Amino acid sequence: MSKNKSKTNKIYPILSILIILALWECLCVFEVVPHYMLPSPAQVVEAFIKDFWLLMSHLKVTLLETLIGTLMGVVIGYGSAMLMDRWEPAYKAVYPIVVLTQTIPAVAIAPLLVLWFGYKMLPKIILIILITFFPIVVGTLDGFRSADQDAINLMRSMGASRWQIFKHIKFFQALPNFFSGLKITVAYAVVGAVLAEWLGGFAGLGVYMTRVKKSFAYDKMFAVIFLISFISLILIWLVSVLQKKCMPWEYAEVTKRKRDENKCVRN
Amino acid sequence: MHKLETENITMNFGSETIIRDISISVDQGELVSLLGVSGSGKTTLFNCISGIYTPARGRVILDGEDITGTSGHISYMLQKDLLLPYKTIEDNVALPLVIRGVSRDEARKQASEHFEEFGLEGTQKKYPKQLSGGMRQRAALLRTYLFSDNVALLDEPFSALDTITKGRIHRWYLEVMERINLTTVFITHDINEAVLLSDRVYIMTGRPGEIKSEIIISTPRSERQNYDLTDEFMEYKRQIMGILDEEKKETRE
Repeated sequence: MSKNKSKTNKIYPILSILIILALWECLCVFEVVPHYMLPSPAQVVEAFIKDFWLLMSHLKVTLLETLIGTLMGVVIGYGSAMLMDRWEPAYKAVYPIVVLTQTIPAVAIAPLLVLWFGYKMLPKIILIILITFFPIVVGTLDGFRSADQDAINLMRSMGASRWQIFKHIKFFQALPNFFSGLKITVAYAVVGAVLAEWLGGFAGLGVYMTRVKKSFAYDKMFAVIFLISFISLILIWLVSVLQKKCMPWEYAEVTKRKRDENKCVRN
Repeated sequence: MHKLETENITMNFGSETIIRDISISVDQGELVSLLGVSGSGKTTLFNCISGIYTPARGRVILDGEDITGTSGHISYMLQKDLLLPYKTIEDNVALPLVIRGVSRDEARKQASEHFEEFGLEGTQKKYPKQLSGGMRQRAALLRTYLFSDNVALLDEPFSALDTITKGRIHRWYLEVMERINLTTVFITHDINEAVLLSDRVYIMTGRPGEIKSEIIISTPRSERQNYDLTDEFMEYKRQIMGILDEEKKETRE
């Protein structure tokens, strides 16, 4: 895709968002909706600026929880996927449990975790691990299993060990799935952290949220909601960047001209 | 002593016998084809030779040594090039060396010495998807060659290519083979390809697959420019078609 085209592609979503914001502002300015129920975008921005440093200090806590939780979730998820790929009995024993953990809503486990582990960081991190490891396990395991059997046989004929087959084929085969899982995971992780903070804690965006809710400061409420969305978007974008770095072959250019050049080398 | 030999190889899948009593041999530098319709068990035989399967009966002998059921001696190449899309061409072709324990840099170095010979110069840092079908098959052939400069098994390696590219790659293939002196067993269902490229052709038929007959192509490979237009070529082709026809009649009766 040319640079110009990708620029015009970006114009559409930006335009639609601007229109929505403008409509929203109109609703508030002309008092169609009373401002104590729905603050205008301008008021939200004002609240955001006023509370900026406070928000940042809470954000730091939430981000730290997210980071630790996601990292551990990814490691546990990837490890379980490797284990289940290696030993069929492990797959049969563990996979149903993995699926089962996902049928329990996070909102239901969170209060229990707070009850068991207190108001500090631990229950939040555990909840994030529970949320994040599932997409990683499922995606990565699917990736491992979709590896081309012919390629694996060829490696075997060359005398490759299981570990070499993993390193040269399965690992790479699972990368796209892994990154898709990771993108879902980071977005969920932030939400999970906020959810756990809601239910009790000393700092974090969720704690801030419950405080401003109790004081009916809806402009601040919206400010923190937007901040959470924005952070999630940034994290997803970061994963995309990482993916591009880790998978250069996906983005290698194939031009018709190059192909023809290659054909001409010898013939 | 033959370079590679199979002795009465029989292979079953469950209760079904896929191939029975296959005995073939290849000498150093020789190019032998296995010609037969689909389902005659050619690929099964290859998997036995390369050590992916252990045959129910029979032995595989390489340089006088029994290698039955062990892998890591003989490599093969399929119609699908099986180049790993996430590795550059140089890493793809160097893979067999890396598996054997050669360091990556050393493997790359060794591989790069052959790029020109195989008509692959300039493709080292490219990814497979950036290459044309014919070039990819060359890379796959180089990988097979680097795996073992002894014997290579080629399972319909060129059948996915279009006719024109195929013609070109056949000519190129004969030329390269002349230089690298690779002992090759070549599976094909294309009679032209078998006659054009081989020193000998084994004709495989039936279920279970058996060797029906063996035909020696006496024209030296170096003299096969435009061979497919000669009367001699047509004579061989007729002979092979005759054998395959006979077999068809037999199975019908």
